[in-house]
Amino acid sequence: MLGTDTPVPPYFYRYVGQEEMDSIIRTGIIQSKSPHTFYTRDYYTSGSEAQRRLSMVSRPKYRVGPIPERIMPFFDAAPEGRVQPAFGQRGGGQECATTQPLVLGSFVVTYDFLEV
Amino acid sequence: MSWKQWENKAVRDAWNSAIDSMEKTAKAFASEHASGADVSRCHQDSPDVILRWQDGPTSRNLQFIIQSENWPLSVAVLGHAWRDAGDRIFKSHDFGTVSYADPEALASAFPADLASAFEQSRSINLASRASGD
Repeated sequence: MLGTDTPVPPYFYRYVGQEEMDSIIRTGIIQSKSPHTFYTRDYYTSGSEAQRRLSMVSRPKYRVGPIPERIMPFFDAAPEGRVQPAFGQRGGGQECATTQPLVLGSFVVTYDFLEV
Repeated sequence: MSWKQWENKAVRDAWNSAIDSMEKTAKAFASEHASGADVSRCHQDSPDVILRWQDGPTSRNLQFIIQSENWPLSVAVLGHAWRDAGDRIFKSHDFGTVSYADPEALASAFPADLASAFEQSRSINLASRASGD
Protein backbone atom coordinates (compact mmCIF):
# COMPACT_ATOMS: atom_id res chain seq x y z
CA MET A 1 0.00 0.00 0.00
CA LEU A 2 1.22 3.50 -0.73
CA GLY A 3 2.45 5.55 2.20
CA THR A 4 1.44 9.15 2.60
CA ASP A 5 4.79 10.38 1.28
CA THR A 6 4.74 8.17 -1.80
CA PRO A 7 3.96 10.10 -4.99
CA VAL A 8 0.72 8.98 -6.58
CA PRO A 9 1.46 7.45 -9.99
CA PRO A 10 0.02 9.67 -12.75
CA TYR A 11 -1.36 6.66 -14.61
CA PHE A 12 -4.42 4.47 -14.57
CA TYR A 13 -5.04 0.89 -15.60
CA ARG A 14 -8.09 -1.17 -16.42
CA TYR A 15 -8.14 -4.93 -15.92
CA VAL A 16 -10.28 -6.72 -18.48
CA GLY A 17 -11.31 -10.05 -19.93
CA GLN A 18 -10.93 -11.26 -23.51
CA GLU A 19 -14.23 -9.85 -24.82
CA GLU A 20 -13.56 -6.34 -23.59
CA MET A 21 -9.96 -6.48 -24.81
CA ASP A 22 -11.23 -7.42 -28.28
CA SER A 23 -13.69 -4.52 -28.13
CA ILE A 24 -10.99 -2.01 -27.14
CA ILE A 25 -8.77 -3.09 -30.02
CA ARG A 26 -11.70 -3.00 -32.46
CA THR A 27 -13.23 0.34 -31.42
CA GLY A 28 -10.44 2.34 -29.77
CA ILE A 29 -12.83 3.03 -26.88
CA ILE A 30 -12.57 1.87 -23.30
CA GLN A 31 -16.00 1.58 -21.74
CA SER A 32 -17.72 -1.12 -19.80
CA LYS A 33 -21.05 -2.32 -21.14
CA SER A 34 -22.33 -1.96 -17.61
CA PRO A 35 -23.12 1.57 -16.43
CA HIS A 36 -19.79 2.09 -14.61
CA THR A 37 -16.27 1.66 -15.92
CA PHE A 38 -13.73 1.06 -13.15
CA TYR A 39 -10.07 2.08 -13.27
CA THR A 40 -7.22 1.83 -10.81
CA ARG A 41 -3.75 3.22 -10.29
CA ASP A 42 -2.70 -0.24 -9.03
CA TYR A 43 -0.27 -2.23 -11.15
CA TYR A 44 -0.66 -6.00 -10.96
CA THR A 45 1.14 -8.63 -13.00
CA SER A 46 -1.12 -11.44 -11.83
CA GLY A 47 -4.78 -11.81 -12.79
CA SER A 48 -5.54 -13.56 -9.50
CA GLU A 49 -4.01 -10.73 -7.51
CA ALA A 50 -5.96 -8.14 -9.54
CA GLN A 51 -9.18 -10.10 -8.99
CA ARG A 52 -8.53 -10.35 -5.26
CA ARG A 53 -7.43 -6.76 -4.64
CA LEU A 54 -10.00 -5.15 -6.95
CA SER A 55 -12.86 -7.48 -5.89
CA MET A 56 -13.60 -8.59 -9.42
CA VAL A 57 -16.21 -11.20 -10.22
CA SER A 58 -13.83 -13.09 -12.49
CA ARG A 59 -10.09 -13.20 -13.12
CA PRO A 60 -9.00 -10.61 -15.70
CA LYS A 61 -6.72 -11.65 -18.55
CA TYR A 62 -5.27 -8.28 -19.53
CA ARG A 63 -3.97 -5.09 -17.96
CA VAL A 64 -4.75 -2.10 -20.20
CA GLY A 65 -2.46 0.89 -19.68
CA PRO A 66 -0.65 2.84 -18.39
CA ILE A 67 -3.17 5.50 -19.37
CA PRO A 68 -2.03 9.04 -18.54
CA GLU A 69 -4.17 10.86 -16.01
CA ARG A 70 -4.52 13.82 -18.38
CA ILE A 71 -6.68 11.86 -20.85
CA MET A 72 -8.89 10.16 -18.25
CA PRO A 73 -12.58 11.07 -18.04
CA PHE A 74 -14.02 12.57 -14.85
CA PHE A 75 -14.74 9.93 -12.21
CA ASP A 76 -18.40 10.77 -11.83
CA ALA A 77 -19.54 7.32 -10.65
CA ALA A 78 -17.05 6.76 -7.82
CA PRO A 79 -14.15 8.93 -6.69
CA GLU A 80 -10.80 7.33 -5.97
CA GLY A 81 -11.10 5.14 -2.91
CA ARG A 82 -10.24 1.81 -1.37
CA VAL A 83 -11.93 -1.29 -2.79
CA GLN A 84 -14.42 -2.94 -0.45
CA PRO A 85 -14.79 -6.72 -0.32
CA ALA A 86 -17.22 -8.13 -2.89
CA PHE A 87 -17.81 -11.46 -4.63
CA GLY A 88 -16.01 -13.11 -1.71
CA GLN A 89 -12.82 -11.24 -2.67
CA ARG A 90 -11.01 -9.21 -0.03
CA GLY A 91 -10.46 -5.97 -1.99
CA GLY A 92 -8.10 -3.43 -0.47
CA GLY A 93 -6.79 -2.06 -3.76
CA GLN A 94 -7.61 1.35 -5.15
CA GLU A 95 -10.42 2.10 -7.59
CA CYS A 96 -12.48 4.83 -9.19
CA ALA A 97 -15.27 4.73 -11.74
CA THR A 98 -16.83 6.77 -14.50
CA THR A 99 -19.92 6.62 -16.66
CA GLN A 100 -17.97 8.21 -19.54
CA PRO A 101 -16.20 6.39 -22.36
CA LEU A 102 -12.49 6.88 -22.87
CA VAL A 103 -11.97 7.50 -26.58
CA LEU A 104 -8.33 6.76 -27.25
CA GLY A 105 -8.13 8.71 -30.54
CA SER A 106 -4.47 9.14 -31.46
CA PHE A 107 -3.28 7.81 -28.09
CA VAL A 108 -1.85 4.34 -28.51
CA VAL A 109 -2.68 2.34 -25.41
CA THR A 110 -0.54 -0.60 -24.47
CA TYR A 111 -1.76 -3.78 -22.85
CA ASP A 112 -0.22 -6.86 -21.29
CA PHE A 113 -1.33 -10.40 -20.81
CA LEU A 114 -1.55 -11.17 -17.09
CA GLU A 115 -0.01 -14.15 -15.37
CA VAL A 116 -2.47 -16.41 -13.60
CA MET B 1 -19.11 -13.02 -17.66
CA SER B 2 -21.41 -10.06 -17.22
CA TRP B 3 -19.57 -7.67 -19.52
CA LYS B 4 -20.98 -9.23 -22.67
CA GLN B 5 -24.47 -9.73 -21.25
CA TRP B 6 -24.92 -5.98 -20.76
CA GLU B 7 -24.94 -5.64 -24.57
CA ASN B 8 -28.29 -7.43 -24.79
CA LYS B 9 -31.04 -4.83 -24.40
CA ALA B 10 -33.59 -7.23 -22.92
CA VAL B 11 -31.08 -8.41 -20.32
CA ARG B 12 -29.93 -4.86 -19.63
CA ASP B 13 -33.51 -3.65 -19.16
CA ALA B 14 -34.38 -6.48 -16.78
CA TRP B 15 -31.22 -5.93 -14.76
CA ASN B 16 -31.59 -2.16 -14.59
CA SER B 17 -35.19 -2.42 -13.51
CA ALA B 18 -34.28 -4.87 -10.74
CA ILE B 19 -31.24 -2.86 -9.67
CA ASP B 20 -33.28 0.37 -9.54
CA SER B 21 -35.82 -1.35 -7.31
CA MET B 22 -33.21 -2.94 -5.01
CA GLU B 23 -31.22 0.29 -4.77
CA LYS B 24 -34.31 2.29 -3.82
CA THR B 25 -35.24 -0.24 -1.14
CA ALA B 26 -31.68 -0.39 0.17
CA LYS B 27 -31.51 3.41 0.45
CA ALA B 28 -34.81 3.53 2.33
CA PHE B 29 -33.60 0.73 4.61
CA ALA B 30 -30.29 2.49 5.21
CA SER B 31 -31.92 5.74 6.22
CA GLU B 32 -34.12 3.92 8.72
CA HIS B 33 -31.87 1.17 10.11
CA ALA B 34 -28.26 1.83 9.19
CA SER B 35 -27.39 5.46 9.67
CA GLY B 36 -24.46 6.53 7.52
CA ALA B 37 -24.73 3.47 5.29
CA ASP B 38 -23.75 3.79 1.66
CA VAL B 39 -25.58 2.17 -1.26
CA SER B 40 -23.84 1.60 -4.59
CA ARG B 41 -24.49 -0.45 -7.72
CA CYS B 42 -22.86 -2.21 -10.67
CA HIS B 43 -19.37 -3.01 -9.44
CA GLN B 44 -16.80 -4.30 -11.93
CA ASP B 45 -19.35 -5.14 -14.65
CA SER B 46 -21.62 -6.97 -12.25
CA PRO B 47 -25.38 -6.40 -12.00
CA ASP B 48 -25.39 -5.85 -8.26
CA VAL B 49 -26.29 -3.59 -5.38
CA ILE B 50 -24.12 -3.19 -2.29
CA LEU B 51 -25.20 -1.79 1.07
CA ARG B 52 -22.15 -0.90 3.16
CA TRP B 53 -22.13 0.33 6.74
CA GLN B 54 -19.87 0.76 9.74
CA ASP B 55 -20.35 -1.34 12.85
CA GLY B 56 -17.92 0.12 15.38
CA PRO B 57 -14.41 -0.67 14.13
CA THR B 58 -15.78 -3.25 11.69
CA SER B 59 -16.94 -2.43 8.18
CA ARG B 60 -19.70 -4.58 6.79
CA ASN B 61 -21.53 -4.92 3.52
CA LEU B 62 -24.27 -6.92 1.87
CA GLN B 63 -24.01 -7.63 -1.82
CA PHE B 64 -27.00 -8.66 -3.96
CA ILE B 65 -25.83 -10.07 -7.28
CA ILE B 66 -28.26 -10.85 -10.09
CA GLN B 67 -27.49 -14.33 -11.40
CA SER B 68 -29.94 -14.77 -14.27
CA GLU B 69 -30.63 -12.92 -17.50
CA ASN B 70 -34.38 -12.55 -17.21
CA TRP B 71 -37.36 -12.89 -14.93
CA PRO B 72 -37.65 -14.86 -12.77
CA LEU B 73 -34.42 -13.37 -11.44
CA SER B 74 -32.24 -15.22 -9.01
CA VAL B 75 -30.18 -13.04 -6.73
CA ALA B 76 -27.17 -14.26 -4.75
CA VAL B 77 -26.68 -12.66 -1.34
CA LEU B 78 -23.18 -12.28 0.07
CA GLY B 79 -22.08 -10.62 3.27
CA HIS B 80 -18.60 -9.34 4.04
CA ALA B 81 -17.02 -7.99 7.20
CA TRP B 82 -13.57 -6.47 7.41
CA ARG B 83 -11.25 -4.30 9.43
CA ASP B 84 -8.37 -2.31 8.02
CA ALA B 85 -5.50 -2.32 10.48
CA GLY B 86 -2.40 -2.58 8.35
CA ASP B 87 -3.40 -5.73 6.49
CA ARG B 88 -7.12 -6.20 5.97
CA ILE B 89 -8.82 -8.71 8.26
CA PHE B 90 -11.68 -10.09 6.23
CA LYS B 91 -14.48 -12.64 6.20
CA SER B 92 -17.22 -13.37 3.74
CA HIS B 93 -20.40 -15.37 4.06
CA ASP B 94 -22.75 -16.77 1.42
CA PHE B 95 -26.36 -16.21 2.47
CA GLY B 96 -27.70 -18.22 -0.46
CA THR B 97 -29.88 -17.26 -3.40
CA VAL B 98 -33.38 -15.82 -3.56
CA SER B 99 -35.66 -15.81 -6.58
CA TYR B 100 -38.18 -13.19 -7.74
CA ALA B 101 -40.82 -14.07 -10.31
CA ASP B 102 -41.29 -10.54 -11.65
CA PRO B 103 -40.70 -6.88 -10.76
CA GLU B 104 -43.76 -6.80 -8.52
CA ALA B 105 -42.57 -9.83 -6.57
CA LEU B 106 -39.17 -8.20 -6.15
CA ALA B 107 -40.67 -4.93 -4.92
CA SER B 108 -42.86 -6.83 -2.50
CA ALA B 109 -40.38 -9.37 -1.10
CA PHE B 110 -37.03 -7.62 -1.28
CA PRO B 111 -37.50 -5.37 1.80
CA ALA B 112 -37.99 -8.40 4.06
CA ASP B 113 -35.14 -10.32 2.39
CA LEU B 114 -32.85 -7.34 2.86
CA ALA B 115 -33.83 -6.93 6.51
CA SER B 116 -33.26 -10.62 7.16
CA ALA B 117 -29.86 -10.64 5.44
CA PHE B 118 -28.90 -7.47 7.33
CA GLU B 119 -29.61 -9.16 10.66
CA GLN B 120 -27.72 -12.31 9.66
CA SER B 121 -24.74 -10.35 8.38
CA ARG B 122 -24.22 -8.77 11.78
CA SER B 123 -23.25 -12.21 13.06
CA ILE B 124 -20.22 -12.45 10.76
CA ASN B 125 -17.52 -12.54 13.40
CA LEU B 126 -14.03 -11.36 12.59
CA ALA B 127 -12.69 -12.87 15.80
CA SER B 128 -12.82 -16.37 14.34
CA ARG B 129 -10.39 -17.38 11.61
CA ALA B 130 -10.52 -14.96 8.69
CA SER B 131 -11.35 -16.22 5.22
CA GLY B 132 -9.60 -15.31 2.00
CA ASP B 133 -5.95 -15.69 1.17
